Amino acid sequence: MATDLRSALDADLAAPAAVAVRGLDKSFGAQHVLKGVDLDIAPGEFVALLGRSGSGKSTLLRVLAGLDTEFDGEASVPKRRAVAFQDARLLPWKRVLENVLLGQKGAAAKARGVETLAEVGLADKAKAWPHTLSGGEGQRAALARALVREPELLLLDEPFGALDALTRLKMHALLRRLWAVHRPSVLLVTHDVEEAVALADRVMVLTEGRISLDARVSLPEHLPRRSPEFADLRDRLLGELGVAESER
Amino acid sequence: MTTIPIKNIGQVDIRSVAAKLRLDRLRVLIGPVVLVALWQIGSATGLIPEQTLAAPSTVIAAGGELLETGRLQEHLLVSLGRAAAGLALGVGVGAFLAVVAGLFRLGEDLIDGPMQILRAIPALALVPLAIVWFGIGEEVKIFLVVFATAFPVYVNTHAAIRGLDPRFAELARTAELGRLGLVRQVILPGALPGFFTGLRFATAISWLVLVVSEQINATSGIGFLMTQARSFAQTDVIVVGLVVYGLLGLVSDRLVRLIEGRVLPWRRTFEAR
Repeated sequence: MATDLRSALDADLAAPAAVAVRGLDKSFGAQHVLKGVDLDIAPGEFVALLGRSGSGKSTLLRVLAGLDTEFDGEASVPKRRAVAFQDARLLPWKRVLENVLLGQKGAAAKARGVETLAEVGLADKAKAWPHTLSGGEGQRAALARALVREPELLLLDEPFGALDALTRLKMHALLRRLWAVHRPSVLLVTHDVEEAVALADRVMVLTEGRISLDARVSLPEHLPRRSPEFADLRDRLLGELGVAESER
Repeated sequence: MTTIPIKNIGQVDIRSVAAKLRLDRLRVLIGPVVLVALWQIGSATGLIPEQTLAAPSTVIAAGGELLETGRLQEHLLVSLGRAAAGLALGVGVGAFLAVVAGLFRLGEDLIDGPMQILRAIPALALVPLAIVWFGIGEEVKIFLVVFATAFPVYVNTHAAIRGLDPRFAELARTAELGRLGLVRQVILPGALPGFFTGLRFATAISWLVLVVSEQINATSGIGFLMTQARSFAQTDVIVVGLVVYGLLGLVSDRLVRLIEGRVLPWRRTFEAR
């Protein structure tokens, strides 16, 4: 098989891919949303998927999350997955810690929940009701709920889209930190080019149901957002997304 | 450019606002007090004849006498028992049907249609049929309360289940809660606010139905007390009955609200701190 051959040749790929998607096809009625998508994500790799509204990026994420089970093609994902959505989606009738522990049982899970809440900086909010949280706190609680499952694949569907710019920057730093500690594979779906470049190892662009660009991100350690590499890649991606130079 | 000064009203002292609110609450009493005073004056001057409406002082005296002889307590207890039994059964039936109709497609098909049709029948229109079925014993009164209270609970609980945010169901899937977990952790707690809305309607309706059924065919209860007073033209006792019914409605509504606040502390309300 082609994939086996490629993994055998590629010295970098010691372990098999965490996510392997081949010829993924998906339609909603007459609307052909995904047209034969191929996608591999290595264990521990952070991939950002960019696309304009309606490009099918959320659909792809939903398929990988197991929320959409009707599609053509093949997709294999790790068993332990977690999803964070654009809205924090906390159950209003459960306290923050109970929300984090949703679907998890036992004392070990509870200890892990408390620890994870501390990791995202919400240790003192464990007993708070969700409606008392700010937008950023809600999203941090949602991240804790995802991480407490110790996922091998973390799926993020525009998780910072509804946050203000300052909170978003702080959340970026937090996500990078959490990822460095837990090392899940990450698929971050976003329409924010700078967010994608700042966070991911690899950025892809989905255009009209196909992956039209797949680029590795290599930025200097120091002040990566101010580097010329950052600006170059951002411009390339904006171009791919159809944003004219005068609009950037 | 013309500029206008912004008036400095100083800092708002929370304590003085609270004190003002307490005073405002007392101000609510002004209207009723004036009304009762006018009523008393009207009775004293003969403007309101005794056989039309007893004076407030007479009503209070009649109430005191009923309490002293224990008749009021006796009949009140009977009415309370009927309301409680009917309400418990009606709420149970309504909630059960709502959950079945809300969770299962087949349940929805079988239950919702008939419920929507039966709901259109005023409970009191069933009085003749209920008497044919149950005679004039306790069953008929309790049956009428059950019938009347099941619907508001059913309708509100069912609507709450149907109206739950489907994104929560999606969350339950990603958290691998399973069907039972979805029901227990998402659907039922999410439907509780609707259930309580229904419960408050049901509580109010239970008194309404009881009043009428106790006045038609009963040998005990507050309604019976009033009917008996009517045959002796004792308007004071009738007014005592009215006051008791009013208080019952008020107290039971407060009680349900109190329970609601305890059970649903997560709700974002203006009352919540």
